[in-house]
Amino acid sequence: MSEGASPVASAAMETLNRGTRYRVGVVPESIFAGDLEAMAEALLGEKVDMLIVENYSHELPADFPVAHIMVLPGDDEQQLIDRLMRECPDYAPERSWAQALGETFDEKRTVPPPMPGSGAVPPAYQQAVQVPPQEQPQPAPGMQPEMQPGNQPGMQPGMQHQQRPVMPETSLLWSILATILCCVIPGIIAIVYSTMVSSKYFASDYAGAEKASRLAQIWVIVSIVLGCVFNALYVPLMLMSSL
Amino acid sequence: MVLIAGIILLIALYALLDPGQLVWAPKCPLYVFTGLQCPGCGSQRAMHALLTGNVADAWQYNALMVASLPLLAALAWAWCFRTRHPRAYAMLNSVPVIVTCAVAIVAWFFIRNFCL
Repeated sequence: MSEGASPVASAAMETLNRGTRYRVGVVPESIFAGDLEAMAEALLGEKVDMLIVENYSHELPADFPVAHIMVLPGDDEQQLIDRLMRECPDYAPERSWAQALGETFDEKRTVPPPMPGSGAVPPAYQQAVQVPPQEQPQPAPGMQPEMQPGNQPGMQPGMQHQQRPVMPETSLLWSILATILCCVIPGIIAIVYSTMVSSKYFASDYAGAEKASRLAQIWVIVSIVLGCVFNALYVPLMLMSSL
Repeated sequence: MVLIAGIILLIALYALLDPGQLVWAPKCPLYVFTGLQCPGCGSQRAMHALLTGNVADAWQYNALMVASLPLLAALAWAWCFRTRHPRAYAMLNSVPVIVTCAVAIVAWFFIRNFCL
């Protein structure tokens, strides 16, 4: 959709699409010249939430269903982004690029960063856009794989909340089931390790949480194995004595 | 897939067979060795009673197991969608929840053996 768009509008769209909350598209005049209603429908079908309109000589009707800003002559990327944030009040940038752009970050309005492979598909038209590498702000949080504990010291304190990795498995479900259905004592130990996973995770000790997570899994397995071994020995015994 | 098939198979098995009548149903090691009922003793019979629509009996066999079913379902959901809904997972696995579970299990062990 961005084919034929100017470098300024393309760069602004690329930057804005680093946030995962809204999709931003650019529509140059060559495409926009046709039927407005059909255009709006197509945009909504593509789930475009914000629109950058380029080289369009008329005003869009007030009831146009997609929030939009016009590219004015002499705009640069930063001016475009500033105006979009001012004129489209729904647009809440996510922390990483909000900081990169020097904007204030409203935590209440963001959604948690999507996890790898869970959606947040970059819009297809984004691929057509060429951005020089020096313009790239830091990557959006969603694009990163599950953060390794080793990365931690490099994190800025203000970004910790947004970039918190996925909680390692606490195995709470399996510990409870193992306690109830298999063998009590290893099950209880597994629950204790589940607690440690959780408390260390919320204390931002991700390495410790991973370690406790593995130990919890080991104790769940111990519980299940003990329960199975016991029954494998005991049930045939009972069967034989009952015959 | 295997997990879902296994769960369906188990449900069918426990709906059809009464583990209280079967010699070869799995037994609890703690009960066999000490005569004390563990927090999960009676779960198989409770499951059978629930699946045959007998909630009162199920409650009698193992009240904690019946009462914890909604929580277990929520935990199972959160576990399945851990990466898709990381906040829900973190909430359901927060320290207060786990500690409550642990305390409930241990308390149930003492209550059912020494108070009832």
